[in-house]
Amino acid sequence: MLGPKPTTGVQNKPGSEGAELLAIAGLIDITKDDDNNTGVPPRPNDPPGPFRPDEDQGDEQTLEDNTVFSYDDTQCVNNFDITHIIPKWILERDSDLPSNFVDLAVNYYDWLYCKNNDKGAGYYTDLEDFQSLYALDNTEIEFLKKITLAYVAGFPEDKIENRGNQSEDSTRFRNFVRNIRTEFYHRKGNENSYRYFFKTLYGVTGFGASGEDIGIDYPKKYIMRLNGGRFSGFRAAETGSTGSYDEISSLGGSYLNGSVLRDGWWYQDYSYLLKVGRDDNEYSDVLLNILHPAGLKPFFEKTINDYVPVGGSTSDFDPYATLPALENYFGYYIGTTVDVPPCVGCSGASLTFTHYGVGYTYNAPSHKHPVWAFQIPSGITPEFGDVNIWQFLELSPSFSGLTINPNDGISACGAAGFVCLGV
Amino acid sequence: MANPEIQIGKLEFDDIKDSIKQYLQTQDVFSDYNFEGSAASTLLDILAYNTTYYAFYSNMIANEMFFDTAQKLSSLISLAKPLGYTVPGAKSAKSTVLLRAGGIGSTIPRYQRFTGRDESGGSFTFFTFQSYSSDENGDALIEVHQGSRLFDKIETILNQDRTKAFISTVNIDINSLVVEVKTPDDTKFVEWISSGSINQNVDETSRVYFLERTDAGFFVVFGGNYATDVDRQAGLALPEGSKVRLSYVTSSGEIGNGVGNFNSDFSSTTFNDNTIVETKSLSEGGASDPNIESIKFFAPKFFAAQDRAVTKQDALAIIGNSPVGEGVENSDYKFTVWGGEEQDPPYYGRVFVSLINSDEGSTSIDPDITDIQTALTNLQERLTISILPEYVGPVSSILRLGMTVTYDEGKTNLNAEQLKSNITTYLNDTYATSQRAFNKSIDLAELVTGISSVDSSLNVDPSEISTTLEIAQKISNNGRQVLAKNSILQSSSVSVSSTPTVGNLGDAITIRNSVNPADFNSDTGYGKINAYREENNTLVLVKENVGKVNYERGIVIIDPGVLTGEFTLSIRPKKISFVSKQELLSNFEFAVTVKKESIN
Repeated sequence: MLGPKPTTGVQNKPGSEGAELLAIAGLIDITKDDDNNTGVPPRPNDPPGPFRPDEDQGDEQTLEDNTVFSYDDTQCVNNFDITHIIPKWILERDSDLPSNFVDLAVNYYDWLYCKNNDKGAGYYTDLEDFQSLYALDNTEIEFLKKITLAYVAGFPEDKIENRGNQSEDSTRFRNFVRNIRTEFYHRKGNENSYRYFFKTLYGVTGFGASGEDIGIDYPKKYIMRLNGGRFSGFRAAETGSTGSYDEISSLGGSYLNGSVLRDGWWYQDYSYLLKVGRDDNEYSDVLLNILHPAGLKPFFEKTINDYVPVGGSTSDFDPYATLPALENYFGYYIGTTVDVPPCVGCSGASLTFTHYGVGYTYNAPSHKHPVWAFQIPSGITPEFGDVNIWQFLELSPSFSGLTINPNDGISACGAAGFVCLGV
Repeated sequence: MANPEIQIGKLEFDDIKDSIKQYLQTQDVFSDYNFEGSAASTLLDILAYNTTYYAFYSNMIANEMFFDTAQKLSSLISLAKPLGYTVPGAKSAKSTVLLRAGGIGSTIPRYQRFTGRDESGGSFTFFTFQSYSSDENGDALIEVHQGSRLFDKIETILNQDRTKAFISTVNIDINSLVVEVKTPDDTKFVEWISSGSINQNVDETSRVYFLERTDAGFFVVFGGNYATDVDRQAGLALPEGSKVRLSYVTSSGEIGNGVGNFNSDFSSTTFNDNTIVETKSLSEGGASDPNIESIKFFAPKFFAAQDRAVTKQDALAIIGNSPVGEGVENSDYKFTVWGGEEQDPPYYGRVFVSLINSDEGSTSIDPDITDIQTALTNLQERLTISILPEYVGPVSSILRLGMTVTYDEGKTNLNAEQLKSNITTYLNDTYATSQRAFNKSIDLAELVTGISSVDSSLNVDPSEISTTLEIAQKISNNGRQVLAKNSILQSSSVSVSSTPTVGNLGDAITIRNSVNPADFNSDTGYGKINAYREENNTLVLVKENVGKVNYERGIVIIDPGVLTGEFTLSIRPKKISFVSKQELLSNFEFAVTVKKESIN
């Protein structure tokens, strides 16, 4: 087969298209090639291949001279001349005859080597043409999809060049595929793999005004665990840790007025929150297919403050709504059979509040409990089925209209005018 | 499903000839030529003929370059290497055998020989690929694999300059391969283990070998330095003076399928001579060549997994790369995996797996117990720590779709029967109705578009499509909860076919839901299931509340003691679009009626 002189001896060396395959597979690192610090291997000319047989350059030809064929939308121009391989006697014979055999042969090869599908044959005719199919930086999207099927299994095809920023998405995807084994697969599942995913595929390094980092959080850090812990913000001279995860780096502690009850959905041990400041439709299916660890519950574009209870709306819940409830119950412990006296230790309090028909209490932190406490009949086996646990969860409404909270209107012990002396 | 092949340039002879002709006609020197003339046309034929060959050649090269379009096994072997995936050779047929009364604590060694017979009386040799011990009853459930020949402890000479052994056949079952090495420091041969090239835990002390497939056989490669990196070493290099021996079994491929009636000589084992050999299943799964589609399906996922099961796809790849997945064209045909977060209700921190057997002709879908153990063991070792794998038995179902399609007889030469035949062929091909599978799905819009594409005269009214899902359920100790995995049409019938035992009222009882809106509790989402007797084509209530149904979540619960035996649940899905999620194994059946469009 006639054709431009093939390039030899470059396959699989750094910078060649063969090297792209090995780099994707993580077998070589093309970014470490001294001659190619950008990590981007040189692309062949398109169409490639120097061959000027009538010029005495031999193997010393340079890529700059490499234009065998050029074309635009309207025509093909073949710089490759085949006349030198037509026997001289035919050339001489045809010069005397109107047979035009030579013209026919030359024009046939012009057509054959024309890669403009509308004007010529549109075939690939040399090795570098085929190698260019695997050239990550500029292979056509059709072939990029083929590469994706082999090296990024599960990546949705329609997201390769359409993830919310069409001018950048294709280029970003090509960069993502390069060295995907060492840069992504080896990290898969850890926080850095999420950062790499969003940085490389979406150009996201942070969210919000600060933009320092993408938001990754774990609701399990805020779950109430029954093993002690402390309140914060209610004593003038508070010492020691609250038990929050951020302070003690352990889930073994409890932040009594900063933690919430688990709900088996958001607040459980296998959930995580992501916030990157993008429409989650742009990335959720990609992430679920190639990154999300099976068995965990992801929440996209949420922070811990975005909690929405199951079946509720955004405004239903203040994650710190349990704070006063816990505050007022700290005097009790399992097995308590008597009512703890009202908070007599807060100076400035006045004996004004009705304690559900059994006396008065101070308008300061006390030991009130919800109405349901009286729904348990005394003297008989308690019917806990009558207890409305939901009232407990909403003891401290952030919004008006919820009146079931017995603590409404009570000033916190630490509020102005009160000094808590302890119980 | 196969992806479209690559096409570079024209491939059809006539198109090529036309293209050459058009090109030449634009050239000044040929502007006056008549290319339809005999001489010129003949020349163009020759050129086009030559070009056709080149077009095929170049297109084949392009297609063989990519994993999903390659057709030649040799191409896939090469393409799979950078993915760290070893293309297997032949696969031995496998059977499960129960050894009974062999004596407590008895063992049989690896490569114990068994003899079995197929239907025609042909004799086949099978081997164990591992040693087994009997349990406290003296029984042992074992797997035996067909082998035409056992190569046992074949010694080969290797040294530091020659660290590769070559097995010159591709007919070996690579699961049978045992590599033993005796270094000068060893007093006896030590078994080295196989390692994938993606294993990151291999260092210079690891006693591992790597298996590399070629067209002619397998290289067994021992450790050494990375190509140019003298500081790192993959696996323990063979010390000078080491001895290596290989043992493996060659397979007869498909010929070894369907064999049973096994027996063995236990005289060289610690099992009793009177051990009873009970064949639990006829041998299956033997294949002479690896399944190309299986390689295409699993190798990319295996590369993405890097020997860990982080994502759901990784878990599929891990099972697919184990003996469970060998030769399986698509995981959906044999197993499926899902995360606990997808369950209803969710079970976080768990990954679920469901399996069926490979025997399409079998009425049972239950998998081999060894397959379950293999899948769970492989997952447990590779899942994220604290995530546990759990097995869920498959549930068989059939989605029946009925539809009436009209046609405009002015737009076609075909009659109703011919159109029906064409539609049925299209549906059977598109939805693989001969193949039961997990995760099988149908989309209403695609269904309508697809049928319309069969013939331009056809018109499909989506309202004329109806679906019924029939789920076969076994009785279990946990009651009779059926998960349809799809919402149920609330006003439709939810019926159970089985022998009821409600109040001993006899067999003429039907169990079904109440479609009375008053019997639906919108707070709980549940409706009632009652027992009825049919009298004069009317359902007469016999007993209320024998179960309940959650229409939105697709959950049907029949109370304990209501039914005996297996039962089938029939429901109408809320939507035509349907997915047989998780453990729901499904197949589709189409009933098509074609009639002329009525003229108003």
